[in-house]
Amino acid sequence: MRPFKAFRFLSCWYLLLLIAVPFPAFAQDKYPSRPIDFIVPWGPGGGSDQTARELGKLLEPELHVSVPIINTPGATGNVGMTKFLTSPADGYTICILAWDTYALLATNRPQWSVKDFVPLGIVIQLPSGFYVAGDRFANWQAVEQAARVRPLKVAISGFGSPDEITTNFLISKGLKLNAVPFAKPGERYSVLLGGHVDLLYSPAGNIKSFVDSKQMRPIIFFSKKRLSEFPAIPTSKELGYDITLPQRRAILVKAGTDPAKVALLSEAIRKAVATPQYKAFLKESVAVPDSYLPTKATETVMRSDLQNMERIVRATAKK
Amino acid sequence: MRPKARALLPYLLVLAGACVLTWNSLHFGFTAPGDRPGPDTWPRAILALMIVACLARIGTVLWSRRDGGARAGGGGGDDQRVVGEPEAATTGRYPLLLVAGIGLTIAYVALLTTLGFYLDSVIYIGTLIRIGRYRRWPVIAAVAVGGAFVLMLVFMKVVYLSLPIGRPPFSAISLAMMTIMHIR
Amino acid sequence: MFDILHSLAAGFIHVLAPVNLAALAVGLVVGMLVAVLPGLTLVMGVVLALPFTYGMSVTPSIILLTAMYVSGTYGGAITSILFRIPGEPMDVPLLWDGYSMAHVGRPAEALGWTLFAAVTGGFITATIMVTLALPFAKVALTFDAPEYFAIVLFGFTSVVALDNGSLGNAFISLLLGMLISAVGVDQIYGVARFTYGTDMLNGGIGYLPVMVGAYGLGEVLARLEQGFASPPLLGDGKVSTRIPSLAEAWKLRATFARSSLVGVLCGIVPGAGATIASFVSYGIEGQYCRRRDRLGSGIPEGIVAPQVASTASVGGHMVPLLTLGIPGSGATAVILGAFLLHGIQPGPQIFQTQPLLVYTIFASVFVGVIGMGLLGYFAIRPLIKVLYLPEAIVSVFVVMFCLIGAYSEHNDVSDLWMIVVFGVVGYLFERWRFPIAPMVLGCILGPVAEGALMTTMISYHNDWTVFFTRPVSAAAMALTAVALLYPAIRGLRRRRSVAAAAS
Repeated sequence: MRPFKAFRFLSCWYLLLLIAVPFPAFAQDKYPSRPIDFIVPWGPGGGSDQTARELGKLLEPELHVSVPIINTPGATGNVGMTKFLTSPADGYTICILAWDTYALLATNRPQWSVKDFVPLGIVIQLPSGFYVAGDRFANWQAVEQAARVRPLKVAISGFGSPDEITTNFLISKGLKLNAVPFAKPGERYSVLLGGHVDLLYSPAGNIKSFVDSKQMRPIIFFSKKRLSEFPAIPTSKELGYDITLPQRRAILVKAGTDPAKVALLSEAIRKAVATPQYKAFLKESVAVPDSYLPTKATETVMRSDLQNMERIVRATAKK
Repeated sequence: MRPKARALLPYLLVLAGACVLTWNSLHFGFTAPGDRPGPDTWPRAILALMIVACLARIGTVLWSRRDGGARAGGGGGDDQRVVGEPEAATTGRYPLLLVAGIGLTIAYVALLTTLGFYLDSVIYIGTLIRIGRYRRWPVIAAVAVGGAFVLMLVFMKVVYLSLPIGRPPFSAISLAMMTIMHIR
Repeated sequence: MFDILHSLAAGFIHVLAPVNLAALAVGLVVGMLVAVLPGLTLVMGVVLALPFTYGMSVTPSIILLTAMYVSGTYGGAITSILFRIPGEPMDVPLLWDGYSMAHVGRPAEALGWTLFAAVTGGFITATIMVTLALPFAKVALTFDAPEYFAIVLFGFTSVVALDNGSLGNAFISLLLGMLISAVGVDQIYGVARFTYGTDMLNGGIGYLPVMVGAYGLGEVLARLEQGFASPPLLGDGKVSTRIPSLAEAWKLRATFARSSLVGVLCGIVPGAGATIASFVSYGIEGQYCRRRDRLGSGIPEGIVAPQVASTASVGGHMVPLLTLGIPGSGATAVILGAFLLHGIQPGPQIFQTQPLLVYTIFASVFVGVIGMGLLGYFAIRPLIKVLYLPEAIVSVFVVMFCLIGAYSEHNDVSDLWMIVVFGVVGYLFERWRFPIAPMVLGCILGPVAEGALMTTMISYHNDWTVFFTRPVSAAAMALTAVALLYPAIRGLRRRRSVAAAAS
């Protein structure tokens, strides 16, 4: 009885397989022919997530497949990068790289390097600055004066980020600052509004609502030119601080992906960022209007940004 | 003596693990700048508390009278009130089923990226129901094929999740299913 | 006040528009479904629902997500009570009194109490949202890292302090959970901890695989060992929901009041709002409830407290989101994302610029709570039917949902390995009578506690006295001390009375 049962058991699976296999092995010559996973190494609702969702939405009609967003937050984007780089180089996984994560190459030496991926383009660039709550500190000079007397607390997103590099740079210039990491954006904003920290480092767009409602005010932008939205706010360059680390976000595909697929994806991104919807999104985010850079230009910017960050990190470490 | 040794076993295991991890926590290869607490502060505090708690429990078991020792081992917990009666006594025990279930689940996870979600799930659902002493073949087959199909349809088509499609030649099955479901 | 009522009335009229009502209904159903299914958490459900709102206008999208959020705090209670598998982390405390009550043949009562508690908590939180939104938002701003840490610490004691017999075991289990959550790249410095160079551990071990493994798979394994022949929970009795009478509920008025306050306040603590609210309010019942000695044996207080607090925490999250633009939890972060995708920035100005939107959302919470009550009442019938299907088939699908749910969080097979590992661990805990709940709690709150502690130490230059000098954190610390000392004192007193009786 027993062997017969085992036979029936096996034959049942065999039948199932027979039902399933006759479908012809579908030709896979067309790319893309199935959904492309879009990895976001940050939680839903954040800046990178918003950019990716906006872009993913606009990429779908270009690529004629769905582009599901996969949030993998953790460790300043390291968790998501690991996931991205362990997936196959078949063009079915793309990833958004924020400069918070990219800065880790200059500070923390993560397990990945620039050689592991091909950038498809920078899709957004945002100038960053220091913000204060309500009517504290009349201007940057007032901040400087206060910071020479007692340490001011700066809310940053995490250690090893451009936030910390910038703060350390200012410390090396004689300001007394204490960088306090708050990984969740919500905490970062509420501690500033509640007066538990003095300054907040943030890209302009993320906190637009607080600025619009006069709860927060920019006090300095770390950029070369003044922002058209905030003509009265001085830049680091005018104030004599040689540091401008804007927030940029690039889309990546794994190194070793078929060049034809890379070209197709780059072209789709170029078309997506040229749509009026995306332009409106950039405006809403207080981003640089012509944020988009194609692959070649992105590689150049990435190289110079990394050198720049490494230089600053070295210079501040000496002091 | 034997019940006492059995009562001690979990604590000794945890204690040994805690000691190994404490040793590891000394070698994270990173020191926080200045007087900031480093990445090792938190785990080391937990490990220290854990070692103290284990030693305290071991002490309680050793110093208590024999009946106390047995009680400490099966000390129960919040869940004890809930579990309680039906265990072992009324129904039979099938340790082999347990081993088969664990083995099957391990196989399912191990083969998931090779066979793809659909094929792997059909096999897993069907076999696990069979292991669970349910014997009506038509029902098992229908539930396995139908269940995997519906799960795949709901999660890939409706909620946009990308489940593993497997490697060739098995990926052909997943891709065929995706074509049937119009997943693009 | 009249202004508010007027705006709210306009909001109600707006909610009843077909599109909004449809969004509300869909949100309630999907939220309940996600909460009921083990493995799929509410936050994940909201994330997965977000792409569907791309094409909608802003009002129905926010109503949809908020409705999911509200009904998601209730659905998981049903599985906790009937199947002994928590649908959401916040439903773990319902395993004790909820399952115990069902287990002694009173499942209808247990289900009725949770339903009543969820609806009451929902109404209280909605009322607070409407009337006290702005002053309440100010409370959110007084919280800094020390307060977060002190409140989380008190959350830990809720489990530890409950059973005096197993204090040591519960404590070890809690520490194990905290240690598990410390594996992986650390959140402050990005340093790999206990990863041994493996990619699998690099991303850390989330609470979801631990909870789903230990409760979902562990429970199925334990039943499999008995050959899927577990005695029917319900006997032959027909189960429906028995809503408690108002007189019965009035007896528990203190519990309702305490728990809704705790729920709304804990909602502010970022990271683990509803979960921490649920555990803390259960812990508070353990100290202040009149029948605290019988807590855990299946008394309504132990069901009402966590459920009221879970649902009431929705307001604690939504108020800072709407009035300040600050998201306190995973779910509200997604709702904020939905706002921003539609080009609307929540914040104080939204009451001026989009008053109709805000009051429509408020009104939708009221309508949603009623809808949740009706849905819960009728959804229980089909759910009960599941209990009559062959156990093998039900169990297989429980495991499948656990696996898919955990997979969908990160699209990562290593989370599935964790489920298998913790399924076995959960089974062993059960066999050795080691409590599982503290481990799960440690996993959920461990990272929140570590983050808050590290931030405090960095912010205040290693000055640990801040925990005792700031009023809110000092109060939470005092409660923690009481919670820890109370069982010890009780034990001592009992021993003394035994000694007195002997002499």
